[in-house]
Amino acid sequence: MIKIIISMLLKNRKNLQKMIIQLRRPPVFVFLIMLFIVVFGPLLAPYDPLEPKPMNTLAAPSWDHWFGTDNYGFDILSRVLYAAQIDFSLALIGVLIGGGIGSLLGASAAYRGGITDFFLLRFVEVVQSFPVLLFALALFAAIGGGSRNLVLAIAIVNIPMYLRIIRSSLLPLRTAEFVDAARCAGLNGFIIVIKHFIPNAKGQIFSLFVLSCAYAIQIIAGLSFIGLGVEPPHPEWGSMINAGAGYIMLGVWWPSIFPGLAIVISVYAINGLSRQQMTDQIRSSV
Amino acid sequence: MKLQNYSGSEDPQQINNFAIFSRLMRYFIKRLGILFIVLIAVSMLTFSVTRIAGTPLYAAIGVYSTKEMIEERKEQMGLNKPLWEQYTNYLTGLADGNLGSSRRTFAPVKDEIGDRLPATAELVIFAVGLSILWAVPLGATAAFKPHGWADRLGSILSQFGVSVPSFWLGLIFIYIFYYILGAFPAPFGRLGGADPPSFVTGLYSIDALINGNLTLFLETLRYIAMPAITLSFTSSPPIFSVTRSAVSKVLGSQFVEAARSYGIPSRVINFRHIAPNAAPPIINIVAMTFGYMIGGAVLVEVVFSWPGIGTYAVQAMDFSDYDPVLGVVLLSATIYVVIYFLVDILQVVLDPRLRE
Amino acid sequence: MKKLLEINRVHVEIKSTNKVSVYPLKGVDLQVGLEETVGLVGESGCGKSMILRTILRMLPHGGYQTKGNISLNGDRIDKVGDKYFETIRGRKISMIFQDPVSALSPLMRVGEQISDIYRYNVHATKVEAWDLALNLLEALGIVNPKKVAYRYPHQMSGGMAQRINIAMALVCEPQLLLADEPTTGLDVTTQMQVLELLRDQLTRLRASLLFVSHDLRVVKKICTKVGVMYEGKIVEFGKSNEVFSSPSHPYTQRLLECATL
Repeated sequence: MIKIIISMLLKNRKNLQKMIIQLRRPPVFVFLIMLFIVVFGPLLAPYDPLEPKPMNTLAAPSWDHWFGTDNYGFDILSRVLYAAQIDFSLALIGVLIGGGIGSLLGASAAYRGGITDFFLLRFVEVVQSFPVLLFALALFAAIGGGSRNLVLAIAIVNIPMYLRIIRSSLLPLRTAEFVDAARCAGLNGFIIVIKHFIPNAKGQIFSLFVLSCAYAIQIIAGLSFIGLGVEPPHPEWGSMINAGAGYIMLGVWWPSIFPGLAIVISVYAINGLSRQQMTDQIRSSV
Repeated sequence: MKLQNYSGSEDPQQINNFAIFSRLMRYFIKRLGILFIVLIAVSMLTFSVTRIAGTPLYAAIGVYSTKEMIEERKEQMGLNKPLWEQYTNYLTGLADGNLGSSRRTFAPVKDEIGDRLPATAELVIFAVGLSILWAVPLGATAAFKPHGWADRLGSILSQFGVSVPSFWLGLIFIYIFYYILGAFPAPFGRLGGADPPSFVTGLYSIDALINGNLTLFLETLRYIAMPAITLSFTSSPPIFSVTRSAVSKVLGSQFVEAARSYGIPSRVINFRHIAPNAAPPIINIVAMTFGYMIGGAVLVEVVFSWPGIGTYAVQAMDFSDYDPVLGVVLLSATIYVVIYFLVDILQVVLDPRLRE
Repeated sequence: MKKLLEINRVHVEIKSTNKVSVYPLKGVDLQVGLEETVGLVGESGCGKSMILRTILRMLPHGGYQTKGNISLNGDRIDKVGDKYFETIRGRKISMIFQDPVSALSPLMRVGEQISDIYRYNVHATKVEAWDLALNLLEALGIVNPKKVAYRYPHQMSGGMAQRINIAMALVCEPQLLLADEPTTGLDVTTQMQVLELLRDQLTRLRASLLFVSHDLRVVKKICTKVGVMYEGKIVEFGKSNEVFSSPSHPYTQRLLECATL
């Protein structure tokens, strides 16, 4: 077993070396550490996030509880770590669904043109004219709250973004020769769109993906803060901030500050990665 | 005179001003048409939500009711009519300004929103004003000196502005400036319960000034400061970026170099050449930010207990009171779309090249 | 004979942000006499446009003149203060550019652009400047100057736009006109007409011309002297008919071979 892994590594030595060089850059490094924490969070957590300690509520940060405890006695550090998984996975799923649909629609709009294009663009305009949070509010009014609908909201919010960007980057390709060639070979539109069009937008899709994940985390936190979204007592950064909000005026800062810090660091790290990627692209194209 | 025969010397394409005007009119009408289509679509979306939410019927009657009562009520509320008819009724209702009523207070949503809209408007005006005050000059300076202090400062502020959740930032400000420093008052709304100035515009700060009450004016500023700063910080990054790139683009263009070579003083170049050419995208982003913020200020409003339409919608949600929520959503979307339309028209007005 | 413009051993360095430096000019010597038309030819990137920008102190971000001196009428101009130098730009030396339409400010009417230059350089009034602009347009062969003055740059052809540029460059009657490939964006007939226009105006103003181009045909038509540039230096200089008929430097020979082909 180990032999197989080692031989795989040796084969890909060049790629590995490239990847290790990447590691030296701060944004990538920070991002990987964050990813590690997200994936292994629950293993690192010292306490059970759902085990209340009624004797020890609102305890300030100490060696026992690095981030202190909240009003139920839950250990905040553990909750922050568990919440990382929840926030990231919800964001990821929502973005994947919305991004997938949006990219397909955008590629179709670019390929078909005409009326399809016109109506898809109007659709985008309509959806994007609602401020995101209020849109989610209306959606929850219709079909209720909870994590599942949260993912749906994220997906719907992402569709117009991906549609627009993919469409604009693929529009010039509509008149490209290889499209005509494919059509002559008898391929129908659907296959052309998937196999030939979309791969050309790979770069755009990836950079948008990174940014929209960061945005999705913000949205999830915001909605949970208002009380829609992940229901307490499930740990979620936004709802943790909400729970601690009332106490801030009394000087109890730790229940709200630490989850927020987690959000800032996560989003900053993700955005940093995309910034790094962009400067790379610029440097390599010069 | 031989010169007259040169190509480029005769009067070129008769600049047909009438043709330009009619083309502009057609563009205006086309955009207006699209505006209506979008508004109709928006109303359809909110309408379908009202039907899916299922509130009207059970909210009106309650749980203990017989089948006959339900049928009767259904008839009364017009729920038996075909969907198409229900929608047109909804639309005519909207045209009248009828946005439904709150299930909790039984007051018309229109009135309740009307009461709260000035609060949101004042907050957004201050926030956008602050954003313009710091993001535009910083962006312009950053464009003049790439990699200089303005560029680096602005970039860092932008990155944080985007990464920080607005509600969390608000809480931090409360902690630092209220709890620790006591510089700003507790976040209990626009004046913390004191009497507002006599109504003129609904914007407390302006009203206080109009009434000549300087102390009250300063008080309103103290209360609006933290929410406005919070909202400004998280919504200004695009304004900084757009300003920087717009000014940068103009700075690199040939006509700026040419103007400099003719000996025109820099001050004149800045105001007559750079500013008008860099302005359109900046105006664009500022207007869009404004339009978006009317609905987008929800989180900040909630944190500071600001009595605007955002908190109204959130409170209504907590009581499963759906009409107010949809009313707010519909209003925000409409405001945004209308501003988008106006900005579009403005672009054509500002730039003669677009008229061709 | 006293020289109008003298450039001696000028070096220019451009420092970019990642500490790498480029040296577009590596010791340039050039003289332009009174009422002389001098051409500068060479391939792209040889530095000919950079010379013009060095003279007018309009180097790109990070560019500096590191060595040498530039004098106008015997007075050094490369080391004078910025404020004083602004009186040189437009009034003693001015420049016309390659793409005529994009060298004009898109949101301002052309008449205003011309009169602005006069207003700010000579401190004239708006009315005086506007009248002068109209007269100048007429002198440059534009029929209906009143109508044209109210136009925007995108509403005119390349040839007319270049006339506007020439008007703007000459409105303050400079002694030296720099030209950076002014005919390259125009079609052949318009090119010739613009050149004739230039020649007439220069004779009228008794001004000199430093004309940069990669089009040898055009340089031959209008310039009495020509300099050949290669890699940041002037490798050959002399009367244009001499240089073109019997070039001494091997690079010039290569250049001429390519041109006539």
